[in-house]
Amino acid sequence: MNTRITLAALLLSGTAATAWAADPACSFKWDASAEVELYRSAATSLPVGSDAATAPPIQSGRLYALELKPQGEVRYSVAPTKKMLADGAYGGVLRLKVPAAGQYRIAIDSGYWLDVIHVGKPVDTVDFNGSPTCDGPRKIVVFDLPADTELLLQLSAASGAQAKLTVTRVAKAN
Amino acid sequence: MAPPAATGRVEFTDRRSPPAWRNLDEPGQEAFDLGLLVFNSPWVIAGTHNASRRDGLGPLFIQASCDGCHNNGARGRGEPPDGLLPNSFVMQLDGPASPYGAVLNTRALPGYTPEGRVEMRWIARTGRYASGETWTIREPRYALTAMGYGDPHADTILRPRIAPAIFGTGLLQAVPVAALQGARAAQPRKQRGEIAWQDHDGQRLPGRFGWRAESVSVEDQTARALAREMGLSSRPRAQDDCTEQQWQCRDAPQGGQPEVSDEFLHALVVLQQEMAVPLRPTALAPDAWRAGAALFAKAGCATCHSPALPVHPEGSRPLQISAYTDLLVHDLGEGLADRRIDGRAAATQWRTAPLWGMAHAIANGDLALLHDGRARSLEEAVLWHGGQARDARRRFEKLPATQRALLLDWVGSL
Repeated sequence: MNTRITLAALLLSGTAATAWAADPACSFKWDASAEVELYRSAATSLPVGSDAATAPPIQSGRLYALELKPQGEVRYSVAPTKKMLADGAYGGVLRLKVPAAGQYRIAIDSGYWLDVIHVGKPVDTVDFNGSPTCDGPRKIVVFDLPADTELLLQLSAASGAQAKLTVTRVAKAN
Repeated sequence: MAPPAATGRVEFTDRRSPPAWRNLDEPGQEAFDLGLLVFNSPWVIAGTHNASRRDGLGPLFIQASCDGCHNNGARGRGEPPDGLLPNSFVMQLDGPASPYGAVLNTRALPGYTPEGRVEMRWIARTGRYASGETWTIREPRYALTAMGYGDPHADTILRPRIAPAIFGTGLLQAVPVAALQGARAAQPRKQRGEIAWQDHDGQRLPGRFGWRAESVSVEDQTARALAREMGLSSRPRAQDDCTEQQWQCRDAPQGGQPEVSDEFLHALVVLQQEMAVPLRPTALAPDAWRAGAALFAKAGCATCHSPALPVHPEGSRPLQISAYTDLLVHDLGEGLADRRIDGRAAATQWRTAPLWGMAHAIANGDLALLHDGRARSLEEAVLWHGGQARDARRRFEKLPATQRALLLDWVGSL
């Protein structure tokens, strides 16, 4: 049976929890069908900022195709929390404000490091999981975010100048 | 029961910046800091602009960075749902020569064909304690699919492995051979382990690292992982895992010769040799701690998970560590054996896994114990013990529930 047909049928019947397990290339420990679907949608192209002042805003529920900058041109408000080599690396800064407090998942498609900064401090991650062979989201990081507050997303140590990203609200506890 | 030696143990304030277990001189600290940068950084395609120090990934690989498997130096985590492979999972291959080399590389750079995919399903096994409670453990079954270079030989042995923690490896390397021999001699004949002697660069040395103690040193293990799992050459291993049949892989552009410079390899080795074993305050009251340790010894666990080993680290005076291993290999029975593609059991010997840092692993979540991460809890891990450890497991199974819980809480506090 064609995997894609199976996936679509399961989504239509509302058994999404089974659907995500049907595609072994995109296997996360949670139901990541929302992220996988977003990654199949049309992406909004967006050049990242080089610092907090130039960081463009992003919204949850959309797929962004980011144009990163050479990391040497980026001025982070807080040093990236993961210590990595910067030679040949790309990075950038985005702004995010969420309307409701709670857990949000940030899904990325390539190997870069992501920090969420709130009032000058990195927000602790709640959890993370990866699916390195997925042709879509490859790593998902969970954060507990406050509502109506300016947050900075700092991207660092990317291997290339292009990267995709989504932010989605977690509907229920993982 | 004496409390464990704190040698090598430091409380981590930030998992992402693990400390050294001892004070380092300036060159040592610089190498440690560089090692952390290299350990965390993803490697990139050969020829990537401005990245000549870290290019040459693949073209066949499993992860692009050391940290991708050994996240923050810790053991790989598991994922609870059925069928999913842990991120820190590697399928090693053994037996007849195959087009796939020593590991199945599940990823490839653009333009290259990944070697294949590993699919897994779980089979439940149940049993009952002497006190009446039932237990359930799960056994993994693997299938190789989407094979990019033809069918592997039917006698190929599948060696599923989850990444171990790298904490404390420098101290384990500093255990004198005489101490290994002494630990072996002290064990009852029925449980006696073996030193995993390896021929290495014309010398016969004890294997210490890897789930079956295949590697003789941190450098040996590091070079092996770089070559097999990231497609990176280094001084000790000039070739990666491309086989003769994989001509595209062999002809791929190189990121230097070797791809991992001696400076970077040295820094990676220093990082691992000096990284402390995470220490967490125990929630066990002193009496409970002593009772748990006594149960561990009474059940026979301490025969192999030795609570004390001497170490002679270079540049430090002789010390004693509580790693809870004897660094020997023991037969743990057919239940844990690697298996051939058709399911026949192969080798059943495993190095006694160190238990220090267990509290840190539990706190990290998604616990995945034993060589393939099949055990979701310490209890499941104990219940998989067979072979030379069968008697210890049976004594555990005969304990009352409260004592089993105390013993497991104690191991979980290490």
